[in-house]
Amino acid sequence: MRHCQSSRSTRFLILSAGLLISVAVLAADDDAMLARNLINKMTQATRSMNYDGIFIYHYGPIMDTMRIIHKADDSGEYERLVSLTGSAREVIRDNNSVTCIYPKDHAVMVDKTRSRKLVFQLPQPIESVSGYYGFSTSGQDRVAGRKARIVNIMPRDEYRYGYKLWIDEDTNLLLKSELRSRDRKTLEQIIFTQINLRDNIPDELLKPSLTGKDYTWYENAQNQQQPDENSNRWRTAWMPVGFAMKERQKQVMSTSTTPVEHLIYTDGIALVSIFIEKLGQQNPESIGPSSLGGVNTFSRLANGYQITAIGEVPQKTVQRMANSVVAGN
Amino acid sequence: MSEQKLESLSAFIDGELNGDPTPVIDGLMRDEEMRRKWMRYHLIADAMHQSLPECLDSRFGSRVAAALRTEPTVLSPTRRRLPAYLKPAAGLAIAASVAAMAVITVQRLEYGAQPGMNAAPAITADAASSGSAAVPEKVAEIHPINPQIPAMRQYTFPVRRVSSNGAPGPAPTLVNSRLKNYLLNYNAYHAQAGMQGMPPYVRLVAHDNE
Repeated sequence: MRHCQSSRSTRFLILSAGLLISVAVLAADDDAMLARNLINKMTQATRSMNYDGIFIYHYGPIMDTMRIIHKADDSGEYERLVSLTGSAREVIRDNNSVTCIYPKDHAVMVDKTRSRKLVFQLPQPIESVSGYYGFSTSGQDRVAGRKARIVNIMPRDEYRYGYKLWIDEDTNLLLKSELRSRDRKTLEQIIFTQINLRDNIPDELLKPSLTGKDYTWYENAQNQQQPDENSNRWRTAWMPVGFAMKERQKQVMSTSTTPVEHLIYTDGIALVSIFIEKLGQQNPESIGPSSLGGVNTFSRLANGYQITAIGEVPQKTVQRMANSVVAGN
Repeated sequence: MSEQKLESLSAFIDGELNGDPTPVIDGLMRDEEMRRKWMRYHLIADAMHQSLPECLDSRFGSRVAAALRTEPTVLSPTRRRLPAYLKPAAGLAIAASVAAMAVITVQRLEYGAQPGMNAAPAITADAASSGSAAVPEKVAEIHPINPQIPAMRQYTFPVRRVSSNGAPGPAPTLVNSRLKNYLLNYNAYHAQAGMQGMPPYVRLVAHDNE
């Protein structure tokens, strides 16, 4: 009798523990789902709303204040980004071109990017990325005078970065963002100090403050993408688990006499580009590691080609990716 | 600075400015004093919200620039008696000052360049880090929009070189337009796809002011 009693209570304990664990798992799943939904809404809001905001960019010793003006309508997206500190550098973007103005150098660069219909949309169904990143929410905060919900994206291995995002409760716009190493150190961040929603954005606000008169203009004149006929010429022998090639292009660039092969990889969150350029008379350039804030690049030479990997991933990831590129099938 | 200006700046930062923010923004772009106020206000706000990073030094860049201006340039470093553990760091510091010199040299050349010159000397990042500055090299052809202005020079901009373990390198060096074109292209894709933890092109703007 006594024995029977004890086994019954053990059974009860096991059952309730199992129940508790599954409740915890379900709650975590729910939280991850909430986080993913917020990210999807943020991506949507960032591209589809009209806003005018000021934010601070911070990376190591670099701190800069910028104004961003974004407009979206039936004809597409328009955006003007202008630095409020130092020389008034600007980037103006519309459906088919990107114009970069560098007043210090008296230079304007225009990149005609054909309106791209990307075959892939990100973020992808998050089920496919949960193997490589953990998603969670962690409460509320206040940024730029607005209530924000905090979303964490934690990488599951050392080949990716993590993110902490503050997403506006009302508008779903991104108010603050940190790029983080796997050990949760903040590498790079932006924080909005003010953001205003607008019914419409007057065209004047999207015009450059500088006329570009007396500037030297450079244009990537024939920067068109061509479908790659020779599509198995180059491939990567190594990729972190989860990264897959989403697009492959040959691009004509003003700096190269021959089209540059461009392979685009993603794990559903991070994007990595690999460029393979045949060197003719040109010299190899910037071989080895470089970085531009949270974007790392690594370049190497192989049989008269320069191979460069660029991505918002750790330096060792771009390095291994670039080193794994091989010719042939 | 007038009281009213300060008030609108403060309201602007707090997101409570009624009306057109353009005068404040224009003021920020023109007025050094106002920019300093802007930094201080944010510092105060960050401190009050306890969201200061562990290390924050807004004068870092200008201090380095000032130190470089006054520092006698050591091109062939004499052997200094340093503890063994300090030596690699000293080597880096010297490389940094040489690299920074190379940057300054080229910028002067750029300012001096006139439309009509076909190729001003350009240096590669490798030349900068090895200290052999201002080595003329063949310049890749860039197509100007206006045919009246011939291709002038290779456009350069700084990208931070890093050591192989991924730590930020000691000083920015020049990277020519090939890597810059790649970065523009990468951003063009990132603008349309990928999770945007940051508006695209921010880095191209922020890192051009060094």
